[in-house]
Amino acid sequence: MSDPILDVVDLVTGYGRQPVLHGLSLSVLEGEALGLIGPNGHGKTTLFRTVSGLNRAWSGEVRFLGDDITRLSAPDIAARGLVHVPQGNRLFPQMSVEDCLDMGAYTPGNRAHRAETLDKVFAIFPRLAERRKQLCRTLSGGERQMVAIGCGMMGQPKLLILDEPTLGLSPRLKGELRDAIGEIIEAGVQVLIVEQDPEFLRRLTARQVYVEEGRVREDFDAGSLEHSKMMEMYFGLR
Amino acid sequence: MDFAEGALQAFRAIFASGLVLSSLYVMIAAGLALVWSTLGIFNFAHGAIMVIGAYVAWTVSIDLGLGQVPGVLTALVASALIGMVVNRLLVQPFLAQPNLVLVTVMTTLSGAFFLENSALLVWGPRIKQLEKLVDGNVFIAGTAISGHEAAIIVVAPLMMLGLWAFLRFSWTGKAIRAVAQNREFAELSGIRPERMYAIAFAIAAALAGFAGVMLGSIRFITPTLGADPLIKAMIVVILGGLGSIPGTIVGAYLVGFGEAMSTYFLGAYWTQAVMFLVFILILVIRPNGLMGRE
Repeated sequence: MSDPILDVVDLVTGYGRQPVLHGLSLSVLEGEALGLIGPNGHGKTTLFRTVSGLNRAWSGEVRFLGDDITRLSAPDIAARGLVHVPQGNRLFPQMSVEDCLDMGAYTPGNRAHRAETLDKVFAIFPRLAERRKQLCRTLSGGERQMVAIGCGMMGQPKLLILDEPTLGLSPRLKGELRDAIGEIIEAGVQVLIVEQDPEFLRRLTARQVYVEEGRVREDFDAGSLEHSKMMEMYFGLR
Repeated sequence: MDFAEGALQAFRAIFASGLVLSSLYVMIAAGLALVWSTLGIFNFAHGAIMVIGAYVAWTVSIDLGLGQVPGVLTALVASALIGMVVNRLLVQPFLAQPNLVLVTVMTTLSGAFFLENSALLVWGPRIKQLEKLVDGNVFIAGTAISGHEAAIIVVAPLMMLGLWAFLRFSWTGKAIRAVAQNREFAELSGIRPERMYAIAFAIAAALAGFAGVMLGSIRFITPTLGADPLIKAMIVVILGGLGSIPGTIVGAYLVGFGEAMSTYFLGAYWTQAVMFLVFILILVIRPNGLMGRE
């Protein structure tokens, strides 16, 4: 078995005094695309925010490429190539698409490769090339999401974390974005994706993990996520 | 004297003094607007930093007799450093507070008193004046102004242009805007907000120091030299629409020419009151300033 690129061990954190993650453990193996699924409000976004350094861990450990990154700041973690594309991102509203993408390559190591990475982003999202001079606040939800993922790519990620990239998008746009993310994975970028749609995840990732009440449910079988299971998960119906 | 002649005379006097005042306000308001647009706070120590800049220039170029250019450069460096200290001690510790704006009004105001009183201790109560950077006189619309004042008129818009280009085109400038627009996303992009705040403060303070040097040779340098221009600059920034650079420029020329007109027609006593009245009226009609967005 290959080494994990990201290793989360017994992570506990929360907001104020209210814990959200109750000892969550999770590994992303070298070379795999991993999907995360689970009901809303059960700690998926909190997990990502803690991994990328926006939230502090109360206890537990996050290791990335073998190094302990639990206490590092968000910019330091991003510079190491662990890039988190947050959920429902409003980007830099007063900046042009191109400037916003540039900021994704802010760290000196990435700045040197800005031009090539930008070409790759425009190859995957041709619409962004058309809108490169447009202000981010004037973009549609789908375009905004493309810019967000593009910003993540500009950081030359060794692991790209996508938090519900298709939240609130139409089925057509969702399909478009799924294909784009597929292309990114094929180009050799490792991704960790959260989505509410098991079908979406199964198409993109080889393995899925189920998060519930701030823990990973070990007995989870991806195949069992059929309709009745989803109904139970979201509506409590059996 | 017939009416046409009187009007022409009034225009000449107002145009020259309005232009000088406006340009001074542009210089002072630039740094204030930069800090506002980056951190969302008003730096009340801005005027005091201006004064220190003027005193440092005086010490280097007149007291030590090292000449004007070293004096100006030392003033820029000194004020930038003071700006960074103000940021580190009086702003950064409170960034996480929900009532940041209110807290920093108090901390930077106390910083201003500290700096003013330090200036009094170090340089004493005797008034000082810098030499003019440019000698001779220049005629504008038939009114003579000093070459130094002409230099202020030319340099102020150039300074704004430089600041605008820096924020628009340089990596650091763009990163400062990025932090202001979406701090978390900036952090996730690898930008360190504390560093950007420090840089923004240093630039703003250096601009204040430069304004102090320019002011220090047309007015007398006292520890409270910065107080009155600071209030005008705040009106400029709020009037222009907080933090917008075009707005700040428009606001500065409006306040400068308004002050010149009111001084000419109503006299200096009424000017302050009239200005605040107009200021309040404009804010009633446009609460976000002339060029501000909600």
